[in-house]
Amino acid sequence: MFTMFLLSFLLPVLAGAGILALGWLLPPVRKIAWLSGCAFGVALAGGLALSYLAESGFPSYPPVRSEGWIMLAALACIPFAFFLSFTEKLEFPWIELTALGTGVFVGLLPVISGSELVAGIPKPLFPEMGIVSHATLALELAFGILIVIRLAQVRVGATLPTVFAICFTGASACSMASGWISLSIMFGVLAAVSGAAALFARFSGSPNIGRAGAVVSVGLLIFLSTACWYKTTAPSEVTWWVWILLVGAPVLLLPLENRFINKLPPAGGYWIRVIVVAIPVVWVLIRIYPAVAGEASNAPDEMDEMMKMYQ
Amino acid sequence: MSPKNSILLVFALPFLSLAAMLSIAASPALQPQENAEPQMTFTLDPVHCMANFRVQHMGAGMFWGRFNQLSGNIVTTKEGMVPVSFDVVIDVDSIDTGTEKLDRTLMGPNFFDGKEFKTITFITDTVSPITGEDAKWNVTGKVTMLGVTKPVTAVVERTGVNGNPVMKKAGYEAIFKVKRSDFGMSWGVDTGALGDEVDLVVGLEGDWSA
Repeated sequence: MFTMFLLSFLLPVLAGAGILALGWLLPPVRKIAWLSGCAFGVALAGGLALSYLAESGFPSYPPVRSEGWIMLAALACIPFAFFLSFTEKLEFPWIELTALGTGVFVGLLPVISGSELVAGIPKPLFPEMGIVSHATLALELAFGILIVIRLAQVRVGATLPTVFAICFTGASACSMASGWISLSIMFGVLAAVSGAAALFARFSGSPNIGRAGAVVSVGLLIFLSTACWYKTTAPSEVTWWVWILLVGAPVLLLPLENRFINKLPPAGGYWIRVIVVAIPVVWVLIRIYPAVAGEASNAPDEMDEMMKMYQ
Repeated sequence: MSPKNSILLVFALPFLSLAAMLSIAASPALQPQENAEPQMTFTLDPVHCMANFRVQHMGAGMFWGRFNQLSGNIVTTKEGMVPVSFDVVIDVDSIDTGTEKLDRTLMGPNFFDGKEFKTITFITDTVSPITGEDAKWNVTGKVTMLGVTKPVTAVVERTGVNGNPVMKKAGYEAIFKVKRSDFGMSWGVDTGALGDEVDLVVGLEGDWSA
């Protein structure tokens, strides 16, 4: 059991925290804008890739089992984070194109990858995803990335890493309730790396998660949540709108970017933002607790009912 | 062709056709085979079929689970007494461990991945009687699970055949082992969280009607 904890969780978290420490705490590296700018994104993607490797090994391309896309997405995020870091200064329409391009690319992945054909159309990213679901995922990614890049431009320091730590924790609990242990651990790694980033941000002069960090964090949150929804049999507590609450929680930061809250002392503004985002996530955690703890396990099933008829 | 040859051909044709028909009729493939047993196909009754599995948890206790929905057929000779083949399809989402949370976990991507791989199938290759046993056979075949096909050998016992010339029921029970890691279901094998070797006991009951 300890080996599983060590390989799937502790080592990926330490690796992610190590990348962050290099990018955000080491003075010579901190001064190189593109390196510190991509540290959060690379740390998240690297931690996720290591955790996936320990849990499920290396997938083929295109993956035979659809969860292989998680590993491929994590690996693709690393060079993409470097690329985004170099484009940090580019404004309109670069941000919009990045958001839209990422969404469309992920939505069209089955076509681009030459995924095997099922009934004449490429095998979907995740089971039972139709064309509309792929388009919805593309739009979610485009809007999510657009919003979080804009937020990252104005909100530096520990706020965004803390917010993502909270959202990833909620998603980890939902994955556990849905019965996907590996994904729960992977979300846990992302939450812990985000938590480490929040901690480091306190001691490194309010670093920016950058465009890379914004795209990778919100991209993985949306992509992995979609994977969990389509790959598992969710209990009644984990409905589609529970996932929307978790994935959409960072958007609550948008209305908080106003002059009243910006006038508050930094600590006050930080706590208000964190609490507002935490409210829906904590509500979700309370709602899904019975499913995580397995308290609803004694409900009679059809077979038991049938057996009773013969007694 | 000369007129003489044409007349010869017209006379010869009926004799040639008759010879060809006689030779075809005499070929062994079309002769009624006196040794061939009439076969009887039993359709699996999903209510009375079940696939039970047993695996070790955390290196300690053995826990049991089952699949409740099976379909397929059993082909037999001697009115259900001797099996010729078993074709079985198991619906993964009929998994039942008695605990909803565990059912969800086993249906999930770490184990049976039921949303992506909806069935487990068994197709028979050979059936050979076990020496000294009048109601047991070694059945070899292929199991396909998680998109991976592997050969398995099961010991199958006839548990009973009952009925009349119009309707019959035949029961068989298969016992075998598989290594789940062979099918790519490796979660918890290295860490010892869940055993690799899985024991299976599959109870089959088929219906036949004239």
